[in-house]
Amino acid sequence: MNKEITNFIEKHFKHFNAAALVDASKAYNEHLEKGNKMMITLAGAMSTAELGKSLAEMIRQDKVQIISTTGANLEEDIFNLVAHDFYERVPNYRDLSPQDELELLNKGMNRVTDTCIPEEEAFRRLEKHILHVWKEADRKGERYFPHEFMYQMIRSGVLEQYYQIDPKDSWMVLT
Amino acid sequence: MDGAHVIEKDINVGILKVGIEYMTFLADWYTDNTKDCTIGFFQIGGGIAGDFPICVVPMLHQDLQRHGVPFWGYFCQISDSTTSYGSYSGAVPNEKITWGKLYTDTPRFIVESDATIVAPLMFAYILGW
Repeated sequence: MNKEITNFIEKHFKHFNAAALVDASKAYNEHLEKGNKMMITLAGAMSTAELGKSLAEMIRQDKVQIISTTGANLEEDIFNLVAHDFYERVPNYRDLSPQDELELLNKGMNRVTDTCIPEEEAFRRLEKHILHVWKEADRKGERYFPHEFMYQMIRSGVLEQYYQIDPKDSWMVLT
Repeated sequence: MDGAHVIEKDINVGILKVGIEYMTFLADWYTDNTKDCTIGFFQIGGGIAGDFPICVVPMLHQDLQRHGVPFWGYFCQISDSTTSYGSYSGAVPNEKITWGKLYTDTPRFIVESDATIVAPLMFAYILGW
């Protein structure tokens, strides 16, 4: 590793929020180096932002021990995993008229700022598989957390037929 | 989606563990994992994903009257939220001292910027990329 990004940040991020970014990152590492642990909390649409590309490596390298997040981030990481090629970017989203938005709805394109998540390939593709693990639990009289049901679905391997990104870039899939 | 299948009677609502059970899980996890170290809190954005778990510490101290449980050992938030509107997402780190979440000596940081830009950069720095 030639530390290109680290070197750039240390050279150019000297003041204000840029400096806070460096201070907070150094303190993060110092915290872990003392044998402590870290929780990361994830709001908004960070999975659709494809934070998995770096967050998954943070998990693999044991830089984070527990994550708190929303159902949206749990499912949107899996959506990107199984339907990435069907997403559409809308860089001119600020110019969309109500009619343009309606046409996106009619195409099954659920918009998150400049990125559309495809209804069919993302939501509907997963539905029968998540319903399967729910029904199994119901049949056995078992109860689980929402993230545990998603882990069951991923770890059964049933989604592998749909993978459209390197699963190493999904933070929900532990590879 | 799960609500629809409950309405359709495909599944019983009880198969899904709920919020209070997440909190009791977290209380046990936090207690087990702070026997010889502390836990840091790295908050990307605001919202319930952060506000919910950070409350485990005051719950253990104030509601359960447990002694010897450490405060969060590090705090950083990447946020575009502004403090003067009264939002929880925009609460600055020192305010959390008054809620018994952080202590006076807890290292605390806020990067007021776009998390989609800042979070990958910080992870890259932390990973030595």
